[in-house]
Amino acid sequence: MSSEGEGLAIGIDLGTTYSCVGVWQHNRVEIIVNDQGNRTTPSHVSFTEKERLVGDAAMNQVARNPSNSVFDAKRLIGRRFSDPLVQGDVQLWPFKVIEGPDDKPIIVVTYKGEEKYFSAEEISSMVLKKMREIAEAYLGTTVKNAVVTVPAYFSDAQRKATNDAGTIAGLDVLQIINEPTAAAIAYGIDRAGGIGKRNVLIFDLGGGTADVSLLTIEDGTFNVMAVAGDTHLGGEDFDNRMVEHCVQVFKRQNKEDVSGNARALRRLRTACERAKRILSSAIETTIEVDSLYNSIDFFSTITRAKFSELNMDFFKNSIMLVDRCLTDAKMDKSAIDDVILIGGSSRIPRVQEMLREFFDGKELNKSINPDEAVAHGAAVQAANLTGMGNEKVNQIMLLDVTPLSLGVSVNGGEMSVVIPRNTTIPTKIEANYSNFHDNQTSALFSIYEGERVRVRDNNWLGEFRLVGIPAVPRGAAKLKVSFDIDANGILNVSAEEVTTGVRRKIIITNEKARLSNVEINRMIVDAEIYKVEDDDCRERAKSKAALENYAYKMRNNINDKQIGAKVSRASKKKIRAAINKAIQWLDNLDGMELAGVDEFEEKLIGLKLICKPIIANMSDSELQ
Amino acid sequence: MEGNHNSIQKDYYKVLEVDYDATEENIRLNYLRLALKWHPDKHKGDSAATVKFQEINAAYKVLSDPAKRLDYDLTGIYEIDKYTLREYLARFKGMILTCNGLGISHLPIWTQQLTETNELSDK
Repeated sequence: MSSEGEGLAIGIDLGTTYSCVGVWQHNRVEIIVNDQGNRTTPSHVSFTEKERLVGDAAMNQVARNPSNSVFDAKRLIGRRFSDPLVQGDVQLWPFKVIEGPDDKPIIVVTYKGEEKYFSAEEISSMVLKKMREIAEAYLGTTVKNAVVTVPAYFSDAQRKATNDAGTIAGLDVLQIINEPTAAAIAYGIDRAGGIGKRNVLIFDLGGGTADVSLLTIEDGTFNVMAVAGDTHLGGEDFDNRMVEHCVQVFKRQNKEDVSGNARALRRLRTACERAKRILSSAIETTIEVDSLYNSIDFFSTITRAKFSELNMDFFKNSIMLVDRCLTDAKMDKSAIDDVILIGGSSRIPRVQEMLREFFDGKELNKSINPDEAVAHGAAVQAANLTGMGNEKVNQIMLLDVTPLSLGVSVNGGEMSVVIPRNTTIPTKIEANYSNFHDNQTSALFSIYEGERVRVRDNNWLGEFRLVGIPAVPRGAAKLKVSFDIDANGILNVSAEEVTTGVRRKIIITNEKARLSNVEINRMIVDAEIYKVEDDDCRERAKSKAALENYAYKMRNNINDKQIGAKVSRASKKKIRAAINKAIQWLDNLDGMELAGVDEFEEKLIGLKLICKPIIANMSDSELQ
Repeated sequence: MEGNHNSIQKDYYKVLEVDYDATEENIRLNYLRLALKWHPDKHKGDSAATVKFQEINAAYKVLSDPAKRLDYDLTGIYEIDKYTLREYLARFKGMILTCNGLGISHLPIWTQQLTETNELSDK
């Protein structure tokens, strides 16, 4: 085992609202705290006149700068702008999203007074980079390798886009694994060997997505039997309902409509989110926002029952996922040994109650931390893949499944499934097709994912054309299509024509929804530029602080009777003047663009030279 | 385009290294053992291992499901000259027993298949 950072691999839970990073070290997983001392970091990126902020800093100024504070990138990633869910979300977000080329959603912000355009991948890459930096600060080395998690029900495009985000962040994404599977590892790793064969149901209700996974765990083997999910159901939706409710209350109380005011809505949402969390322990709480709109305060009470009523359809949907998952796995609910809760929203008492009712009163397992379990499991898998773990870790085997059926369009719009959903991955399945018309020389393969019979109801992934088919009557050509899903759940399709013995292989490359290599490379360069700018901003702030600290310290010293007595009157006067000059210069900087690092350093050196007589007369203890 | 699927020609029992009359539990344990051995996570970048792992999964998917296993036993591709007599008897034991009238409810399917089997073994 080497102690070099090159070999270290981290696990990142890239969440809709919060992200979390962990690493396997000293035979256990450490969840790494960020620079603010928090174990989870908001998946927020904010752009200001001066700098770019990621994480807590971005979240803290969201109310001040709503239109340039981006969050929820996970709700955009790998989706089309015309997606009804995206259209719905755009109405609620305070930042601007426009339609880019090929129906890709593009986020528009103002950064340093300039309009900038970002894809969801780029925003996610900034969050991933932040998580990487958090890990690097803790480990004291560079970290390149990471396992990144996605919701089990993420589509092919969403997985590919997440993988791209990792690449832009400069990470080597070892594997994309499913969040509930990662949580199962966190649950199973400490119990490996001692628990025998167990059927475990993971109920993951997070900030933006809901997943249900059914696994059989046995001696380090995590065999996923079935998954079900909704990539657009979570705490954010509950917040939205509360905000809508509060807008109505405010209208009733004050005859004022705040729904057009982004800043007011953002403040209301923050208050609602806080109230929602309180309602997991209290029966009733208040929502208060001072001078919400036109200097009118907002005040209202909300009960747990009211909150449940507002979101009952969402809660019911999440329970329905459990039923669907059990049906797919052909398992009765009585066969489930453990029901494990993860994701922040799984704390909601009404949801837990409904889940308990569904399982006929079975106690739910809350033994793992719902916020950290996913990053924990990802870190274990990262150690497993790099061979850095202990014996227990190296015995782990993941047998995950693909969440959606994959197939091609045949007979003018029917879905011909090649890989059925819940097939263990990696997998490769071949299917044979033949020509539809006499003397057809080329064939168009349209690839879809989804469970509906007609392809138009399913999700289009891409298409390619196989040319050079010999002119033969209908049904005589033999076209072999091969679907290959790798361990990340990402699909590659190739086709060959085998009639004449000549084989042609084509691999989908021109998927429009996905970033091209050129775009990814540009984004990698951009990311480096942003990083340099961020670092520069931080350096300048640091050197400004150094000069400021030194100036004030010296002023205190010279005013100190004991130290001051040792310095001659003339030099004292000279030093005082220099210090005052420096402080004045610093004060005048305020509000303006910061000066360069060189300028600060130059001034600091100059001041140090002048202050030398004091330093010379100071004892070591006073120098501290 | 018109579509139909073809099945992979490998003998699933041989892929999973089990007897033709193996119990479900036996098949499961052998599957786990082989899957662990050939799991792509343990063979980084080795595509041969991935292919092997995929075969194991395809075989397990069929043999772990009683309905699919029965169907495979009846219709699966097999080449007679690749079996020893003992293997052959083990594989078709069920049918031979049924033929003797030991009650299995799927009688019509079994008899229908049996004639085809006989035809094949005649060649």
